[in-house]
Amino acid sequence: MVNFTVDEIRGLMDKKRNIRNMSVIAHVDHGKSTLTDSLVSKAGIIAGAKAGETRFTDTRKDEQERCITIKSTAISMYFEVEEKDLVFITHPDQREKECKGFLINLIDSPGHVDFSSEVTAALRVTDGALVVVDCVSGVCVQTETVLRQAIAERIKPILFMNKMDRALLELQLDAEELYQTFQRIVENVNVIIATYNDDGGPMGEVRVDPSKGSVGFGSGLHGWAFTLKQFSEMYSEKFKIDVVKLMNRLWGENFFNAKTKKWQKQKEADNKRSFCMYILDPIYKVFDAIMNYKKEEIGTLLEKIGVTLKHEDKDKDGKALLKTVMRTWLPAGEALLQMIAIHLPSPVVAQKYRMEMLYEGPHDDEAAIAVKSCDPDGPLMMYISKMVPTSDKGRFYAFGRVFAGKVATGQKCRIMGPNYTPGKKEDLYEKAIQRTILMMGRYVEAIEDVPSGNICGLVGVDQFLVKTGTITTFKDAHNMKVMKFSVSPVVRVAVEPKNPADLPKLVEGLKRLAKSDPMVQCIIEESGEHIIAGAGELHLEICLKDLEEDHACIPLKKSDPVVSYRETVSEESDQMCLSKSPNKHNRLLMKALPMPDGLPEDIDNGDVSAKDEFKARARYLSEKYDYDVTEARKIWCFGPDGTGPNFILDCTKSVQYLNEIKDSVVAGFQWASKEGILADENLRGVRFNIYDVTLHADAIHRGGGQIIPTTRRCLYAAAITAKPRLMEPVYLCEIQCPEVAVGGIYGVLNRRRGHVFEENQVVGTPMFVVKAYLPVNESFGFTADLRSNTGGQAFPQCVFDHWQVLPGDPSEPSSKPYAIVQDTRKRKGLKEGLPDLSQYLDKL
Amino acid sequence: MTSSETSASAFSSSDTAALERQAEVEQPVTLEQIWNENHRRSSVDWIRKSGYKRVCLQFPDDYLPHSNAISVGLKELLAPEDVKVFILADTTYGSCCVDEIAAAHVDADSVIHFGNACRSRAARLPVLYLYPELPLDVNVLLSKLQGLRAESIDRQVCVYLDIGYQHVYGEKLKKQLSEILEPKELLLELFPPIEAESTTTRETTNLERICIFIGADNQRFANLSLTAPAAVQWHIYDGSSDSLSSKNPLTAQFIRRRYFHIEKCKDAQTLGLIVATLSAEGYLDVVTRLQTMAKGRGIKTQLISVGRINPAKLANFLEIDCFVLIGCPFNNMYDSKEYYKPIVSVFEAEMALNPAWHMRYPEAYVTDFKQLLPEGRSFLPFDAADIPENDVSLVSGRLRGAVNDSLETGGDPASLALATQAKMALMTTDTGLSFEDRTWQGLDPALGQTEPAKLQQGLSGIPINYSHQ
Repeated sequence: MVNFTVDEIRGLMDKKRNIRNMSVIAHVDHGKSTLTDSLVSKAGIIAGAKAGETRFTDTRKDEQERCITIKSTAISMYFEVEEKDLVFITHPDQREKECKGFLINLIDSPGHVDFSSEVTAALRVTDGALVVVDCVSGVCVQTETVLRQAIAERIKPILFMNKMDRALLELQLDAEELYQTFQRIVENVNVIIATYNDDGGPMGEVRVDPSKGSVGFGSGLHGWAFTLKQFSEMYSEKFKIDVVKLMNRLWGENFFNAKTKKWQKQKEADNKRSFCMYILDPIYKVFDAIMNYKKEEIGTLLEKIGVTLKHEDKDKDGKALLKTVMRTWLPAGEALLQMIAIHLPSPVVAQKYRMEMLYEGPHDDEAAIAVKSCDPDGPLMMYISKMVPTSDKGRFYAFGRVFAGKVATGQKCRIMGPNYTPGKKEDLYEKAIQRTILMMGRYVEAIEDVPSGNICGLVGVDQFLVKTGTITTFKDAHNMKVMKFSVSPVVRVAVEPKNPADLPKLVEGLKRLAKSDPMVQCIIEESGEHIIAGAGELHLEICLKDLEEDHACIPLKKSDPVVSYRETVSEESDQMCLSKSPNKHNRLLMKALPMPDGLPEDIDNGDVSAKDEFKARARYLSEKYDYDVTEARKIWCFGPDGTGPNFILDCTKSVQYLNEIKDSVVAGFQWASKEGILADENLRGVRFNIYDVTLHADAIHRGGGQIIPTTRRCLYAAAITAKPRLMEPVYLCEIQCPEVAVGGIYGVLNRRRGHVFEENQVVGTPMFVVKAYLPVNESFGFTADLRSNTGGQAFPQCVFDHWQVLPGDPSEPSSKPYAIVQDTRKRKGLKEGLPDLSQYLDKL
Repeated sequence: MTSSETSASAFSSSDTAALERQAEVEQPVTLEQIWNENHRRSSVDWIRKSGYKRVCLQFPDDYLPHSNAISVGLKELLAPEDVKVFILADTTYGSCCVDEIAAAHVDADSVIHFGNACRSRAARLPVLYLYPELPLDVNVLLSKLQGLRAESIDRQVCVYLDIGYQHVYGEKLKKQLSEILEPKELLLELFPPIEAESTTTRETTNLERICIFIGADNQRFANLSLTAPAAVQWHIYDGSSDSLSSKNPLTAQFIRRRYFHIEKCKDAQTLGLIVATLSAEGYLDVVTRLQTMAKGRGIKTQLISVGRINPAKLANFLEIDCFVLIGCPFNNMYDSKEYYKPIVSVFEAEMALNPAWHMRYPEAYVTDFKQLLPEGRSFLPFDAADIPENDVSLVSGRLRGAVNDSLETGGDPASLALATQAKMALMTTDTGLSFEDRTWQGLDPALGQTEPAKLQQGLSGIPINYSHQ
């Protein structure tokens, strides 16, 4: 049974150099949860024979039914590493002296792109990542995405080639082919790492290398795995070569001539690649003997590899025997444990270089220094990355990582939400932690306190945070940086209760749902619609199910999925737009024009933001987008919400009292950029220029009441005269399929306004990868459509990529944008028809 | 607000008018309809009986063409008593309310109110309400209603008479209707009711309700259909065209839409309480109640009186996040996009601020704020202790906390009282916090940095020729 106690774990928590916080990340269906089982079984939490089938970290019923991970799940485990392996850990901060026990806090994450926000949340609280790649399908789009995220968060990766059993049994690859496949995957992964990581950077070199032991091979399903280290240890005695040296010889262009007993660097007729000869050949032999029922051979082989079968396993044959033999010979848990202990950083090492990425405040204040040194005696700094539902409906465990100090039951803390700014009271609460707990997959264990470098859950702070936040005891602490997700909530459904009187329950349920998922957005719109916005159809499906069954517990009516649009302009306004204030004493003159390509994205990414110093921003805009520097310095504000991808710019020359109306103009701009003229949608990529302003001499006649509505009218007039357009979200869609199915993919994509921009064969496999852009609006039912048109052979992965102008003039009644605008207006209860310019534009 | 809104608000664009549900023109009336023998008799009797000497006649805008004739007619009838008659028009808030302020200007001792009336009880002056008498052919009505018999059987039927048709009210009509419709139970009511309180008939029965409104599809119908207890189906009998139409009850959808505003109201850091009535009884109690509830949640309030509201007036209050309109039942719902910040009714504010409404779905909308006060039908006691500590806003997605007073005090029970006190100290009328966020805060006074100016002899006289030179 479980071969450790909570007390043992608590003891190890203080040995911060023996802690490894890691996440398991990969493309969907590459076997993360299955592989995780090996470690869980090694820890004694599940029986060894069940490993690979239980998927212990898939805790939800629907996860088990669908065989897909939906929520990331954390589990803490205690292992002992043998003395002989400890010597491989050379860095002084990677192990405590005289301590064999290691604490591994593992987070298993979902692979489906719709749930990548869970991956982001998992990465934030860990220091290392086990990247799992299915060696049959190779590096896929989601592998790249999660790897990129990991590197950006300064998470050190190690690689595991999974599903070797398939390569051997189904594809029947020969040894050299298999080596080439491995080699290619390692290369692909290293290319991605090199693209996003600077070797001279603070993390140093992070590329994976089989000869160093940071790449594992095996089968999670069968429960066996190895690294070169295991084999090297087997042979080092025989060859009288040092283990480390031998590892280098066992990978790459190293060939051994059995006749001359010489190592060679080139392939020649009578030599053989060392990896194939010493590693793959024995494995192939075992497979061959067992799967082909060569009884005699099995006996001798087992003896050679040193496996003695237990009595009850003696009667097995075929796959069952193979599993048992391989699992005994090359236990996956052991190989993984060594990879993790030797190659992943301890919090002490990792926090040194991660601090500057994690902390918003000055890098030399008390909190920053404590985080940097992972100091358990410093002020408490903890980041909450997600909320985990408890059995008590509506309550959550706040799950996160202690970066500094110690969090304890009953401790009084400052709870700071993402909108907290130091010195202000907004989004700040001071409350006591009710309980600290250890997350153990499906169970939790109460624990007295948790020191820095560990992952844990908190009870009693969930009501003070929406989704994420920082917990500290340091009065002047700044926030830990908020996480940036790689996906956006672009697909929306409206829900309403079947029984109108259940409305309050629905509202309450939506609030709980908003908490339980790192990314889902639950909004009430002005039209009275209750909207749930998620990353994709699957994400929404799960959210709706949770809402109906767990959070609101009422029957719901759901609309079809819709996308939200953005409004933009395509040209500069064809006339100077003048609007007069209600008292006719103030006049505003403005024009609208589109932003250059790329600028809205720069604003989204924060490369250009309201927080920038205005001169630096102006320089950036003039260098990259050819803006006039003096003009670019006079950006009044971004919008909507002060940060959006639109801005209003002051192009006036010496206007009296202009600074007095700035606040009113800004308010009007925020209003108009949030509720566009066409369909009340947000604006995107629009620059407004104020050319002239005439104001009444008396302050009372140029107050907000006069200026705010006028600004809004003037902005609307400017937008109408600048050829307004609608923008729609577009997915980047990657489809993997065999060659025969490619034709079917093109057919489906064409019908759905998608276009293919890349088509590649995955080297060494018969699989093709097709990359295409597909409007989100056309993506509903895409997966099913694709499957039926390709005989179930094509699997798409769609992730939001960019906004794109919907071709067609929304003022043309026959166009598609016109129909969308009218539909949206109707849904929102607005007057149908086109906006009337004369309502917004005044004459001098 | 009635038709007067369209013409009176010079500031609103045509868009405003079109969007505002309240703005509507009623059917033009003839003099005979609003001033017939019955009207004359009842008003003369009323004045004579009480011996009023200064009588105001208050007209909605569309009655104004007849105002002179009526005034002259009344003066002639009351010639022996020497009664002074005044005409009131262009009322401060809405023509449905008795304009006591205007009446006070002429020192009147009574008001005769014509046309649409919300019948909010006036606090200061005796009022006589005179409704128009529109022609209604009861036989046609009955024959049309025959078609409803199938759905009326076994249900409760409620027949409401609009202001123009209240002259047909009586036991006879009730009996006729019972015979035609054969319902389990029949109620015949006037709308608006004579006395808001005398709604004894509104006992809840377990029967499903069918409601028939005899009048037109106007603002009063909208008001009634929202406030009346839930009905299976509404029917409108239009007296001017003798046509019967059915309309679905829109309460569910309507309340869903208003939920957005209720959320906004909960999100607000500063509430503006607009007093749009000065005569309706209990408005001060409502103000106090709203202020207490807002205080409990740490929301600041500002009390505003700006007469008839329009977007420009309200946009002057940049720091206010949401307005609560305290007006008469017919004049407290604005759903126009032209306003910079949302305007909610007292009922919506109550739903937002009173924790007793948490998780409770209203059976019907309440437009009359008196019903929300103690002894009102929809009154729910307010208990500050029930205010949930925290809540996620579904509009901004942020957490909106109650007051985080534990920050200074440490949160132990002993110091809680102190914290509450400190909270109240913040409740001044200025919204200083967001004012700090403004970029323009007026001219820099540069206190202590400028030399005090010396006193000098100023100019005197008039500008064309100053006398001191």
